[in-house]
Amino acid sequence: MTQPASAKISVRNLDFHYGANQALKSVCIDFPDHHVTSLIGPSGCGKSTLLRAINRICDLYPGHRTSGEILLDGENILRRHGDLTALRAKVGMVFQKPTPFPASIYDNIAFPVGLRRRLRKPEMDEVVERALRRAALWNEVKDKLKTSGLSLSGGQQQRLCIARAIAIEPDVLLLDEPASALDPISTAQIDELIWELRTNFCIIIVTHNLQQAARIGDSTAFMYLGEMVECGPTDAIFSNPQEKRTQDYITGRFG
Amino acid sequence: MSRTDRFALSARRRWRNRILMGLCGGAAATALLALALILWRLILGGGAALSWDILRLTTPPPGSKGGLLNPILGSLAMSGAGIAAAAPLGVLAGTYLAEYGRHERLAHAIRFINDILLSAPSIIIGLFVYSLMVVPMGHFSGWAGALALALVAVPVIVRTTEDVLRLVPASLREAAVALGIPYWRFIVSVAWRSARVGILTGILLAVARISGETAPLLFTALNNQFLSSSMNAPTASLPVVIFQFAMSPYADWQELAWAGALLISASVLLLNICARFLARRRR
Repeated sequence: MTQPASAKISVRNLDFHYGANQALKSVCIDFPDHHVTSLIGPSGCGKSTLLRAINRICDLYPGHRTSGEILLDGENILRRHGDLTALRAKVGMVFQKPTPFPASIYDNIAFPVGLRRRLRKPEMDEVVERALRRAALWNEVKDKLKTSGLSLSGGQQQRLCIARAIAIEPDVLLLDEPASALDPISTAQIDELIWELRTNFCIIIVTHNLQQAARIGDSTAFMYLGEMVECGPTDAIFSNPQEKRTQDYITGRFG
Repeated sequence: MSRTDRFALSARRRWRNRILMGLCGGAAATALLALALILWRLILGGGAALSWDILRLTTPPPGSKGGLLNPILGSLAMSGAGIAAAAPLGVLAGTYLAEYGRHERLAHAIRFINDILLSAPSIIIGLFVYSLMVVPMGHFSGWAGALALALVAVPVIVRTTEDVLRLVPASLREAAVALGIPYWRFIVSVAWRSARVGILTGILLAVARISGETAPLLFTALNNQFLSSSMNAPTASLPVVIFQFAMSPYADWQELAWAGALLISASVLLLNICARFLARRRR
């Protein structure tokens, strides 16, 4: 197992409240660079909340409080005020349901890229092609870049969303159950893709699919009722969990 | 439960279904019948009076030949100016309610007031503009009429814009924000784009609504027997001319009123069909 050299993201004593509900209780975890970390745990355990705190997308909705620290390259992003677009460009995210914009395949990628960098057409073509190639979608769509992104199949749409996320060259990729709405073949494609992308990104993936976590995660973290129960190398978590709750969950005794 | 019981139960349900279906069908037929009768009567009354003269000549004194050129142009000018003012205002306000103000108390208040405005009798809007514009200026004018029509159109556009923007899935909003796209860019390039057909439909419906409004014009644009090139002067409009001519004792005026009524109904029908056509293309 590759041992993390340095933490890209360090979560320190993170508390997260939705109104009166406490969704995260003093969570501590490190996410190393060039490394896939899987977050597992039963529904409502706080995995998605943790993910959505890391790019502050939770700020779209009022009524939450945080305390503690989320250090990205040493900077506490919870203390960032004002414009969060730079943070979000650095921390990409892909959601459970594919979310292509109602625009062409090409524009789905070119639009967010064009907002950050002024590129001439041939350069933009290159960026779009590179993103689609890295998302293993190029061969399927290269002849129909002008057609709507919504015309693709679910698995293709999800890979388009991944292409869109990596085209703006983030450091971190957050994946919120990216394959749970897909069939097994598309899921396998996404898994393979994540495995390849880990050389360039710090990847954090929330999944309910334990096989997926075991396949692609360098590390796995098990959360339960807002607590970080156990985290460590994936092999260790699956073959020799230290906590009884972890053991119960991965053997299917609850959750 | 025995087999026959089950059969009896399903027979009873079938009957209930038939009764409800009959009631619904009957209600729909009644509503359609009213519409058909109105259209039939309009064609009967106005069809004969339709001629090119309607578009060429201005409103005549009783007993001489004339048309409806000045009210047609007046209606077009006032509705056009009204919509030109109301559409951007309504779309932006609806966007505020659906996007920026989603979690704000101010937005709830604005939505509530907008709904009141939406159902306010249009004659009250006419009186409001009368005291706001006509009294200080000392005369009736086409601009005052356009303002009154704009005030009728704004709440319609605000409402439809907000409704269609709310149909834009939250996942799309999150996806855009997660890509580091500024919120205003998301609204312009994603939300408006995916809702554009609905927004346009709302504007067309507002046009249809104001092109038949009479009450807001009575105290504002009043009427004008002559062709006027200035919106500063009192301005004729189809609904007001219909009102005036239909109430008159002169047969030729009454006939022109029928023709005008047919003209308005046909154009409103056409606009509604356009709106429907646009809405269908969305799917």
